[in-house]
Amino acid sequence: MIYGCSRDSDELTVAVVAPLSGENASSGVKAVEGARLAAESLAAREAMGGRKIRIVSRDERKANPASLLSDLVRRDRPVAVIGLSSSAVVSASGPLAREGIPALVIWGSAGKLDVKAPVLRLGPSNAALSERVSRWLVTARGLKRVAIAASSDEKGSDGAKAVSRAVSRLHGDVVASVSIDPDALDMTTVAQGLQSSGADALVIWAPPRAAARLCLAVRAIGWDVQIAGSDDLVDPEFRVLAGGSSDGVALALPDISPQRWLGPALRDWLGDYHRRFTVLPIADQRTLVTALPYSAITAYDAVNAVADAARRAGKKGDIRAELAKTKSFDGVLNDYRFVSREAFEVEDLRISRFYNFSLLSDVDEGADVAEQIAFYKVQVSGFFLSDEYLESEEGRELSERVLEDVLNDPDSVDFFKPYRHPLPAPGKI
Amino acid sequence: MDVAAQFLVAGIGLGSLYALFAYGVSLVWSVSRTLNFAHGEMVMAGVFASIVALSLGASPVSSILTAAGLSAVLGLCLYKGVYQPLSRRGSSPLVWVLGIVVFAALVRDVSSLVFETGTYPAPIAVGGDGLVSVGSVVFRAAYVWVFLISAGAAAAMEWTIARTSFGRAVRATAASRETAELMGIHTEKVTALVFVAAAVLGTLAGILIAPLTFVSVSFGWVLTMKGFTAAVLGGLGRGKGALVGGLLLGVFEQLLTLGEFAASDGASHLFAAGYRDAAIFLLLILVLVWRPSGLVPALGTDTRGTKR
Repeated sequence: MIYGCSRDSDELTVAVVAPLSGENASSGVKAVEGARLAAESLAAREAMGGRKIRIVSRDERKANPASLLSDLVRRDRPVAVIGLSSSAVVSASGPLAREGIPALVIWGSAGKLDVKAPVLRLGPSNAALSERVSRWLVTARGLKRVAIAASSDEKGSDGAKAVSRAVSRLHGDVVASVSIDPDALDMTTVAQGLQSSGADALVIWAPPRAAARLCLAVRAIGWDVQIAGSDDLVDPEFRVLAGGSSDGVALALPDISPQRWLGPALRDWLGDYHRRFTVLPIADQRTLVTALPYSAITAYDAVNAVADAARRAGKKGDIRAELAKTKSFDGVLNDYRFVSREAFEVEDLRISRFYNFSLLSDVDEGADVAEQIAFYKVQVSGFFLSDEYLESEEGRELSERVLEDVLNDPDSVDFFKPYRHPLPAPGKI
Repeated sequence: MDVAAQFLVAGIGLGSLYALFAYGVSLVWSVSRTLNFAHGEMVMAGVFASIVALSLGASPVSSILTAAGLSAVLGLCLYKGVYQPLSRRGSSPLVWVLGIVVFAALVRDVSSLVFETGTYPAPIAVGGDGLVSVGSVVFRAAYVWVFLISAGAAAAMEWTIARTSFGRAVRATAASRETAELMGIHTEKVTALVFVAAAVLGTLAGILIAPLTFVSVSFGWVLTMKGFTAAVLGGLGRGKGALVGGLLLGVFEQLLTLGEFAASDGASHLFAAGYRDAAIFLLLILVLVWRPSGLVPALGTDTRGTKR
């Protein structure tokens, strides 16, 4: 029996093993959504020659990694497993390695990837991210005294060590390093303690909601410090929770070409995703913030990489072997290269910062801010307004006016306030 | 020194909050001899109700009343649906606890259906999220409210239990249900009221802290654990005990964080967050070994928890 194919149909099973509860649930849930969207899209386009992809998911918080993966392999016999950083896929890939099932890691990963397991890494590693962030803080900005606050999970502690090593190597000083307790009800004293260390930069390596709470506490005590963080912060949950406190927070992200970033493929994908999955929670919390579901896009690309390998293998071929041999894949978000265990070199990462209502890559040389603002137009029009409304005269005028305001005087538009008037109430498109 | 004072003040503020959760745990224990594992889940549901009410345009007072109303209903459901039927059948305390755990899971799962895995910032209902400066010590304004309400609740609880007919009924029920019933006390009504009061008190505490943290479905479990730890440290069934236990827990937690800053050489984490929890539970074990009935003994018992 071929792995991942059920006896009575041509279904290929792809598993997503991610945190679906707890601190990192937001990224994990989005990864599952992205994978499902890919499977639905492939089925709608009949792109698999009569075969279908079935997505199964496991909450990695519900069982220990080794037994979770063993159970997954036994029950569902997946052709590939998609995992997030610090996930079971990374920390206990043994069961996958034994069966030769490829793992696709879609986020900055902390652990040492099992050399026996075929692993395709779609996101930058923790080491590359921390090196890039540290280099920017210490060398480019001249902020030598760095404080670190990290979660105590694998990714957080690994990130804290990596930042600490990088800062020291660049002749900076790590003046404080603390772990963040996600269950702590108040982070004010942690912020005060970090402030008292005399740091002029703060690196936060933690899941979105813990990072958001610390950002709020830092700004609440009036500490005007440059904050930088891990790629976790690109999750929209961070911005929604941290609000204005997230302004200026810098993070390293893969350098995506403007053509891809602003192109129709990503724009259409965002429209599809938000039509299918976006449920904005409570009226008062609705804000116009960047909603780039990074883990969802990457999971979407990962499933398409599996489908691509399945097409190459044909009906009788070994999909797992074909996938493990993959050297590159042209996805929606990126043109992925799997030439080494590092998906991105440090030089491939660009420093971006949250600004007003979006993510601006304007601190590195060569960044075209005007092009990025054009992308915001896609977001403003695509995420919060219905197609019918946008096609109306009023919708077009409104969209243009919002963009004009932003372009002329970005500070005049407070996008962190609930947007009621003149925009219609946000909701499903 | 300033930093140490800030940590101490924050410890007292957080400790007062823990005390408010501990009151609920203690009250329910005193009349039912049951650990209410659903306490935090009822608080979580109440806080979500207040957020939804505020987002729908309700005034802060209305949102608090909505939250209190929902938690009161849940407290009554827990009593009528779980505790009362099981106690009437003479089920063992283990079965009661299992029933309460199932009730907690039910509240959590229903909340998950509505709010999924999302995390929600709570609008400010009471107290504000600003800062108060006393000299060089800066702390959250909400802590002033929390401390005043907590101290007031402790005093009110002590006074109610000691001086009112309802308090006498609670004490009589706590001492012996059978004897209390023979004396004409409607123990079931007293117990039901205590379940409701505990849920409402916890929800008020939850609303106070919610603006400083975020609210998610897992919010309830954290509160349950803090409330239990504080109640057991201070002594189950006593208002003063809940206050002492809460303050001790809050200050101890902050001292651990302060210790991490003081001892950190900057190069590495001295304590992972998990070790802080380990240290707290070690403290709990030490207190239980030294004083099994908690730091504040009940009337009529010596410090080792045995009746005189």
